[in-house]
Amino acid sequence: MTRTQKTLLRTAISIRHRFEVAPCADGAVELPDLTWRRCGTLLRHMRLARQRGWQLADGRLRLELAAILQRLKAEVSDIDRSLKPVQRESRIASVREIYGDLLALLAEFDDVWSDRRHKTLSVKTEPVELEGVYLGPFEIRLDWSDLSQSQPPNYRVVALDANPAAANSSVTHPHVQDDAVCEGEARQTIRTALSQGRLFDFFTIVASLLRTYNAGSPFVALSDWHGVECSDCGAMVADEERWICEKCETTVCGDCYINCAACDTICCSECLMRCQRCDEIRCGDCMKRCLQCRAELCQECLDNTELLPAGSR
Amino acid sequence: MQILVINNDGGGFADYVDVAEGTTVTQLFQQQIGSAQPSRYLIRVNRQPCAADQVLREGDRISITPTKIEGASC
Repeated sequence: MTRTQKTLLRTAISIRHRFEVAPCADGAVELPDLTWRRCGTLLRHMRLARQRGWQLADGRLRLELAAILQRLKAEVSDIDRSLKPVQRESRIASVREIYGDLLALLAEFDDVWSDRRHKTLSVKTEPVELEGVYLGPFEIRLDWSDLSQSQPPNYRVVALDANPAAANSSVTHPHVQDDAVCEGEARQTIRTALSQGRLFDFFTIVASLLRTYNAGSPFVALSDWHGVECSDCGAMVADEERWICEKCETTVCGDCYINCAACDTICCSECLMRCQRCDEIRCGDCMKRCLQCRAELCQECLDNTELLPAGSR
Repeated sequence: MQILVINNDGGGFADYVDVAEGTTVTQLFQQQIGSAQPSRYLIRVNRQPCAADQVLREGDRISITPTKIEGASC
């Protein structure tokens, strides 16, 4: 037996032991206070952003709140599940099976390593590329200190050569944010695999998830990975340099956005008009049509026009 | 004979099932998954990729895993 095999065997024995001592039926329930408080904080920040007219910040906070609410739903579901009568999986992998899984992982992944002191087991995936966007290899790191069914799986997905989305540096994969993967349709399969000690299935399912793109529900769409296109000049714009037209909500870059000279609204060029009399730029709401000559005029010019006798124009 | 079947499509449940001697991987797939396209699944016998006509043996561990598993943005 090689040194690696000995290490993996010791890891397999330790992991199997965790199933025997797993505190799955201690009845302790923890409410998702942290996530709930985070929702409250985001709401306060959104209110503040709106009061100060920070449209961009408001938009980002709104997206973040939507993501946190999804997490809150998942956490509440986990609690709901843990309150139901506990049915320990009758089939939990033996030491031999777990060891077999670990050996198979060696053949399946570029790298496999174990940290028994911190009770983690990691694999390194091949570099992931989705629709031409390079995302690099990922480490799938499982904390096997508690694999009981009552707890949500404790694992991280860490980008090893990160190419995060331009819009959000914490998104390293369309379905990974802050090293946490949103499992989507794989959620139950992953939980079942872990609760039965099927580590090979767990790692291969997560790796498969990383190789698949669900365009219907990403944190950041791959089409926007390198930034969003400015609707005026076509340049790619990173999130921190992005302006949103307050009229049509398209993205414009810092060079292209224009404030309406009357109401200060941020606009793209499509939503602005030029006063036919003074040549000043205004948004559509600040322009009026002269009832007599049908020209589009700013309020000032219209007021001045109305002061003039009809015959003088 | 008895084999262990792990269906990672959906719930990911593992069950020991009885199959007839000489059952192939394709036949087991049809029994377990039905009319779905086998090309959309990675089927392994004892954790190794296998041929469609591989004959199963007593105690084999067969896992059926979709090749595309979609995440989301929770």
